[in-house]
Amino acid sequence: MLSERRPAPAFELLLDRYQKKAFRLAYSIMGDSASAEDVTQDAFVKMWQILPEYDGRASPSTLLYTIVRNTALSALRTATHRRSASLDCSYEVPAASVDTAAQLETEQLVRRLPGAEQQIVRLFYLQDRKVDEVAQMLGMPIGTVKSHLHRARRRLAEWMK
Amino acid sequence: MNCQETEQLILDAFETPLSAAERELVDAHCSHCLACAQFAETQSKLDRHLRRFICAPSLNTDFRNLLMARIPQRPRRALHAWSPDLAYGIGAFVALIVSALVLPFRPEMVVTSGIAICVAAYLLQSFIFVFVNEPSD
Repeated sequence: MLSERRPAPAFELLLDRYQKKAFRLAYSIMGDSASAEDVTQDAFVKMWQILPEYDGRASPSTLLYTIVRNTALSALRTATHRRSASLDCSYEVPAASVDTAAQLETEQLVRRLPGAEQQIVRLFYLQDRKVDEVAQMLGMPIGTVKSHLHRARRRLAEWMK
Repeated sequence: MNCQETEQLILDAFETPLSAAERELVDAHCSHCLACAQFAETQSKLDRHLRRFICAPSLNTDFRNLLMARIPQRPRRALHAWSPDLAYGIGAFVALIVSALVLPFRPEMVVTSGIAICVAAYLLQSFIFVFVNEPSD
């Protein structure tokens, strides 16, 4: 029975290799782990559905990241629509610790950044500071990611003073 | 090297390590430019903060099981782009055969057989969409 429920090996490989990255990408857009997990699940289900039509022209990771981005943005639009009266799009508040104050302060600064810069800064640090991976995940040229990142750093440093 | 170029290198260094020559240029500039030295210090402090405090929550340990429960046993079979055309083609062929066999003897059946053929083609196409294109589980 179990073996019957096993998906295709290619899909399992994709899951092994990209589930964390897809989750991080979703998290950088959604801002909370529960929604990010829902988005990641939906994205993998969509990926599974389109696998038979996959012609190999784009790399599977590029395709998956595109699906994750679109699914997350769509979920975000729905969520924004639902709470149109409230502008509170808060990231998860960290658990209380010695670092909580500093973490909240950093979080507030990052949250003040424009959408794209905020997302790129988060993803850059979530992805072990690899610009090329961030660029691939967001479907942007490396130069664009760098310039967003530099602008964000300048703004953050200005606000930190 | 001017301040703008120095700042650019300082920012670049957080993404890719500078070469020894670039590092020397930055150090030489910062040794006599207080503004750039402060810029480098603030950026380093910011980088430390971001590294320390931006961390992703871990994925639910049940993620994979929950996903598998949502995934059908077999992926959808793809519907070829030419399937509807094939359905209409078969319908037209049947219409031709029926017309050739029936109409010489029963000319009054022309309208009835026309409607029957249209319905048959429609049903055939619907069958292809429902049983070939939809999930099979």
